[in-house]
Amino acid sequence: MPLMKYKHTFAFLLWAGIALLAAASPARAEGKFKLRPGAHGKICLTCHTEFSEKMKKKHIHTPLVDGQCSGCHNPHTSSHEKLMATGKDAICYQCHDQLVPEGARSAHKVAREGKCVSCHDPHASDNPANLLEAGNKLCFSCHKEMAAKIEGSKYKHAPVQKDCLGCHTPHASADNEQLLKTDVKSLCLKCHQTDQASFKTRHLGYPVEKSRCTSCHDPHGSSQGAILYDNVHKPLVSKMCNQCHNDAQSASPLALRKNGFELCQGCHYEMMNQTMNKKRMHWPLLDKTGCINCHSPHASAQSGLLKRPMLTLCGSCHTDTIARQERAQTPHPPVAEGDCTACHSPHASDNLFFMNEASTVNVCGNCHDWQTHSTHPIGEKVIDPRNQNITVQCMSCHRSHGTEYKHFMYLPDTQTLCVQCHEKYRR
Amino acid sequence: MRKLSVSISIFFLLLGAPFTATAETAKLKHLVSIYADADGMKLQNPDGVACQDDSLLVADSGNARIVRFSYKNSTLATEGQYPLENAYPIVVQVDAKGAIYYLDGKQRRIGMLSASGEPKGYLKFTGLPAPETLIPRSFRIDKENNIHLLDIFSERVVSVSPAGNFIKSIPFPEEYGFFSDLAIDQRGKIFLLDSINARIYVENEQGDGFAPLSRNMKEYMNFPTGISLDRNGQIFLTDEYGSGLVMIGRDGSFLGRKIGMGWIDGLLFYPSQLCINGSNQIFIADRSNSRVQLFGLAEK
Repeated sequence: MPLMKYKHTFAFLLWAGIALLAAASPARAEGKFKLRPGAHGKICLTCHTEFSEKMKKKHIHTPLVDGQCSGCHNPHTSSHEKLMATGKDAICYQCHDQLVPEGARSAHKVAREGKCVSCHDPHASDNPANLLEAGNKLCFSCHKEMAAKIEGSKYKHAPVQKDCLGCHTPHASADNEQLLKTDVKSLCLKCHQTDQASFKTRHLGYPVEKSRCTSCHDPHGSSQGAILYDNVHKPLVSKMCNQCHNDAQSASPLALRKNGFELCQGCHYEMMNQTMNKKRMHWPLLDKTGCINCHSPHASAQSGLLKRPMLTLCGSCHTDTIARQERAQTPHPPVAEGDCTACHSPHASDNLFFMNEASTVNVCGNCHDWQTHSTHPIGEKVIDPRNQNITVQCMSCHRSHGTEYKHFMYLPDTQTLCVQCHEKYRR
Repeated sequence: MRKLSVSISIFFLLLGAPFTATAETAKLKHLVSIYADADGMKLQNPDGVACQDDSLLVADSGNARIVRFSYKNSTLATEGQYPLENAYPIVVQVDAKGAIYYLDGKQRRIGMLSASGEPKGYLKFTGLPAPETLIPRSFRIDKENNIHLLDIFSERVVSVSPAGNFIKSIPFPEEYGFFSDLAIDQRGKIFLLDSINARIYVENEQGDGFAPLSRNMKEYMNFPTGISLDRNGQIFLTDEYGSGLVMIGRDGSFLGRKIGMGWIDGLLFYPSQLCINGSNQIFIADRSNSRVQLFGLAEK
């Protein structure tokens, strides 16, 4: 019986001991770095005193509030700067892994690349979400051209003045382009009443509420009335929509009267006649979409009613050519500046590569003075030693959209290039 | 019955294996470059080539002519040259009887020449369903001499008889970049080449549409504009902006690149159309080198 009594006492003491040990363990070793009991980030702040000011800000990053400096930093050693636990472009995604959904229709470049600190202070800020600046000011610190355009617009769009985030999402949009919160039409219809008589009158009775508003209107403001884009197609200015579309009262008012170039040649017949007589056609001009592969039929921010800036537009099909330019050691100014038509005729040409002139030497000569650039013999009378059927011209040595070598040469150095023809100097 | 079907499957798998191996280990050998006809007239930016077992036709675009070469016992000889009036030939084809067809890049019409090179006017279509507008970007002639046109305006492939009578049309797939060329295999299946996405589509089993055969292969090539198949169904592409030849398996898988950019024999500079004869010899219109090159395809 006394033995039974001791047994109970022993069991009680054993369990009490285990409970005490369990309670004492965290106090003895704080996390994987075995910090002193109760240390957390406080121990870091004993040296990093500048953080005491940070901690006074309105919005503090949650790990910092909890004193979890070691959530992002390794207190001992690291292969990454600032003793980061992983690369600076990956650290945020360790917790915020859903910011850019897989297969998102559009994503903010900085978010996709993990450059979160471009917008956020990783420790603390006086702005919500730890943003470096409040409101549009932050966006405009990078999107300077947009800022200037908005500022310079005669007719301003009120939501843009207020906050970019009224229409855009800052990280990624799963289903919409341009980081838009919803599709264009739904965004506009949140504010604009399309059932009002004035709306219908202004749009000549066409059911435009079913189409994309930004094909005519610049959502960021414009110097044209009704915030139409700065360059407006003449029939739209003169409210002659039925030159291209069916009548507003017809069964399918927004349908086009003809497809592709056949529609446009009704007015642009001179240009089309010239184009159609050329030997080499830029074929997309003749497909079902035709001219509006490249041009906006209503209005555009770009001259010539181009859909997008030329470099982006041409690069949407000729990705390899534009990518080559981006990799090039020596950028070719017309390409870098998106002035593709400095050398090419975009509709059609009698020349290879849709060049503006038959002679490549002449095309290049528009910017580069012959004989001042090089005294190497070039031209129609100089046969290329590598190939009896071609002559020596600028593209015999240079690839105009750039190469991985200097001066957009095909080969890594002058010697290697020159001995292609001047074989006797080969080493 | 099940055992029999398994045995048949294994037999065909074993039969298929050497073909795959051929594709992956194939070696190209430069055989000859054609610079001029027998009279010494130099080729100028030829865009098109068409070959039969014993002959080669060249669309000598810059000289506005078609040149016919015979190719017997590894020897090329000029058989004739046929100047074209107010035309700019960019694709050429020959039917089983030797009649010549070319796509005139200037008028976007199919011109015809007899086997001896006499002009036969332009191909006229009858019975074409709406829409009436047809703009051919390329075309091919099959074993029955029927003509298949890549109609970029109405987004379809139109098949007509040699007399131009409508046979059928197959709509383009819903999503694509831009189709530059088409090809036909030994069974008569049509293949389409999307240059922008470097992707190949193939006619479906029902023959009423096209389905992707390959994925987007832009990482392997720049801007392919020519497609042809050999007798085993292996696909060859000319990568125009990448100045090379690309080999694709029958299942649409990327097998490799051959030939590099350059000016000496055996290299390419912005090539366009290609054709493959029954002896697995590949003719390439090496356009910006102003020549046609012939390569032999052999196993390593």
